[in-house]
Amino acid sequence: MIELKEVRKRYRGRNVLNGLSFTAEKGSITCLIGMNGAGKSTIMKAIMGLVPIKEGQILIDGKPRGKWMYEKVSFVPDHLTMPLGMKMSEGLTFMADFYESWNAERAAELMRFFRLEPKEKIGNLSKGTAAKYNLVLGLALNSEYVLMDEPFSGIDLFSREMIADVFSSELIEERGVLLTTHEIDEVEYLIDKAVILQDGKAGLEFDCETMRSEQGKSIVDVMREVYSR
Amino acid sequence: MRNYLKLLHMEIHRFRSILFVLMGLTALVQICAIAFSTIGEINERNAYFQQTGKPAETFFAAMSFTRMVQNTQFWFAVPVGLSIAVLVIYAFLIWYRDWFGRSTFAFRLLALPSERRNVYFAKLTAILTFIFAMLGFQLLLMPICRAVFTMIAPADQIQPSFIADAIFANQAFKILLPRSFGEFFANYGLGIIALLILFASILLERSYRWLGIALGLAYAGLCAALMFFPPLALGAEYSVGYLYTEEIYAIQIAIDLLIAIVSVWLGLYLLKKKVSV
Amino acid sequence: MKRYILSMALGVFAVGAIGTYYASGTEGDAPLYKLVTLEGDVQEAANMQLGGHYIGGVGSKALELTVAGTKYQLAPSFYEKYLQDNRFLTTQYEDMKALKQDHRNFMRGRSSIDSFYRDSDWVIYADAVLYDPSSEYDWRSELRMDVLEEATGKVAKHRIDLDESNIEWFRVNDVQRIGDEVHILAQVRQRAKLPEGGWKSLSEEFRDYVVDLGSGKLLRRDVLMSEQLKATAGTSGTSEAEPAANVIRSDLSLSIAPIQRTSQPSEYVVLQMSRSSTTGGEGVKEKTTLVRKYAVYSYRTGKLTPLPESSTDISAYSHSQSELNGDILTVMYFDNRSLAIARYNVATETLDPGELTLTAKQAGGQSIKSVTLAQDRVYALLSSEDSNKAGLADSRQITAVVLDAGSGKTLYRGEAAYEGPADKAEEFRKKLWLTNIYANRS
Repeated sequence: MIELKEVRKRYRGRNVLNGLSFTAEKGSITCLIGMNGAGKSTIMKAIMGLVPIKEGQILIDGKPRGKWMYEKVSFVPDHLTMPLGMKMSEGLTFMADFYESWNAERAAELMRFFRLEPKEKIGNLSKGTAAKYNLVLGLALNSEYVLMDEPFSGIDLFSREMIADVFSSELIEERGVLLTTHEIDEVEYLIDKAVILQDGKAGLEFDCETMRSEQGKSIVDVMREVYSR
Repeated sequence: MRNYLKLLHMEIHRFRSILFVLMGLTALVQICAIAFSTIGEINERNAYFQQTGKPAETFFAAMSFTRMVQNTQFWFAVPVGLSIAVLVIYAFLIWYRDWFGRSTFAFRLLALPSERRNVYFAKLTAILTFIFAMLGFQLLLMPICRAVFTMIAPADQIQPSFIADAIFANQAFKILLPRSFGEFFANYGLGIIALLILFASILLERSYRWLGIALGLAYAGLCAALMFFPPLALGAEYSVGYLYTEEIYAIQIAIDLLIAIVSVWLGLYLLKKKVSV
Repeated sequence: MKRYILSMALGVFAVGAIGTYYASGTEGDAPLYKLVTLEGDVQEAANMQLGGHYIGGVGSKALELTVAGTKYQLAPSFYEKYLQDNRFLTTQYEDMKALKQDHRNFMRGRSSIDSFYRDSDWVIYADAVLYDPSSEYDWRSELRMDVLEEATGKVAKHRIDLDESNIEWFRVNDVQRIGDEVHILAQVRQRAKLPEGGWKSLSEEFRDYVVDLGSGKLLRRDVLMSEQLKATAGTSGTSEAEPAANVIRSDLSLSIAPIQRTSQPSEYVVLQMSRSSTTGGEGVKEKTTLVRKYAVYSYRTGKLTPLPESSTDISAYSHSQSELNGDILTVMYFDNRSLAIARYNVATETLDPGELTLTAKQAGGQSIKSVTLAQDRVYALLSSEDSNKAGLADSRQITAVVLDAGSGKTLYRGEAAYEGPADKAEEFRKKLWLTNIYANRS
């Protein structure tokens, strides 16, 4: 389980994260929901150790983070993060070089699934192709948790369907997924748990199935409630 | 260790085309400079002979490779200056290229399951490799240029030259390739310390953005003052002084080493704990 | 592993290329020469250094040739440049080097070798300072004497305000101890205040400041210029024969005869007065003549006695060099053709009757290129070319000789030879240009 406890972070004078606490369990898909600038990307980067936090704790499976976590937690960012001059195949070699938990066969499989041309230079990829490639890099790792930052943003419809398919497959089944997205209504059916961010804190953390069956509310309904208060 | 080497190889590999272009350019410009200069001198000597009927040796000194190098100061120095400029800029870019642009490779580098200090040392070692490889290449070029000269100039008018003298004939090499290894060690030692200070400043900026620029400049300024001020203040230049010169330099060397260690420590600390992507 | 070929190759190449270059020597064309003994004992040349250049077609390289071989100044090592003491005072004189080793802290900040005194019980450093407390050019003068007691290692620092406001400059020439009295011999120039403001320089004089060793109190101050010396130091021309109007330039200088080992105890010091006059003018060829007078001062008795004149016509010579070694004063007059040596015993105030005159021919050459006097030896660089011939002589024409200053006997004669294959020897000797001869003083 990925656990955040009372995490605080200041950015440009603002308390972006102001005592944020929530958890993302293994085997479920958790979604961070918030307005633009609420700090969703920052939270993802903070979990990955890519930005420092001022106070609070972030624990992975109960342990404080260290370089070991990068084998266990993979990150799918919303933009390209591999050198533009590299070919996609070289990017895969790079990952294989450094990660013990890299699964080369699965990587090849995913490349075929997404119909990506290994010899293509990363700099020449369209937005949709790039997003798929990022997914390959993130999912080909035998990691226990996957963080995805806006995996559907700006992607064309068909690519989006392909990506959504991946969510339902065994690639995701046993892992813990934490994602952020703007298109809540489109992916609502995929999500198990939602965390609604408000004023740098977790305004509301709930299980979607339960919310739907007990209170008959969709995530969007809850969002409206929370943000109109 | 293996991760460090892999990262080092990656950094070298990324830059290889620019490195080879610099090497090729240097070779081209310097060989051409020597060739043209030699041909020019031969023409002058022939003209003299035609005008006066006297053989050129009576008026001109013997042709020597060292003198050719002396005559081509500017053209020889141009590719050297260019290479230095490119390497200095890349000392910055080796970090900044991973943050800015369409792709943020820093995400990947900082999320590798290895110590972040491997990233730091890989970048540092890569820059040093480029510098010394260019120096080595320049050294290799000298006998090649001398061979070109020997091929072009008429054999009976050549005076043999030593490579070391030819190198010294160019003003730029007096600092880059000094005669004394002690001086080489001192010059490049200071250069490496400057690079360490630069890395610390860059990482300060990457950690604290605008404040980081100010911190970085302040840190660099402080280090520069500490490296150059004490010998003057302590009287190394004077013929008398309270401290003996060997004491002054020993103090200075200790300060320099301290600055180097602090800069490395600061860079590693910032990279591990404070840097933002 | 195959992937990493490029990086490995680059790294190996870089280190290899630079390493090979520096290991194989960066002096370039720097042939080695050695001194070959033609006559005499090579031990006599142990102190001798010949300075010159190797000119090999691409500029000149300075070198120094001694019995130990050739040294070029091209590539000082890291140690030589930074980790070695580079100050003149503590590296050039044997007695100063020993003092630094024995009393490192005492030697800090010392500037003048003439200000030292050392015997088995005491080390004394005395110098004079002019300072301006009110910043109105109203200089005060102060004698500073630091006394180190060898037995205990304790240093006593004494400061003596001299209460003299009209000193323009002040230089300590010698420090000696007689019993409990420390004598500080100083050369002082006074000045007088002009009525309209400003200052006028007056003549120089020698003074002996006598200070008590224990308390540092100034006991007395003696002015030393004897009347005879003063008379010659007057403003008239060189001799009675020359009309004063023909004098273009006339320079008077006072000094003491250089002491062989400045910190050594001695009862005597020799004061030198030298007047160099250049006469000439329209239609008359310029001629520089030298008048020198010597007087010996005994610290113990306080007497200043002029030394007898030398019988040689010293006005013919353009240069002179003197040395006080123990009780023997050696004065060498020289120009580029010959030299003359007068020796005095300062204790008995007598001139050694066997005055020596030596021409370059007698010493084995045609002209003298460079000569120096040190430790009772005359070191000379002789050329087989006439001195009137323009240009320098290369090493094929140069010999170095060491003569005994008392007898004039040649103790050593040598020349430079090329260290290398014999068929190149002549060629390289032609490219070596020796110009100066030096000898370590102590």
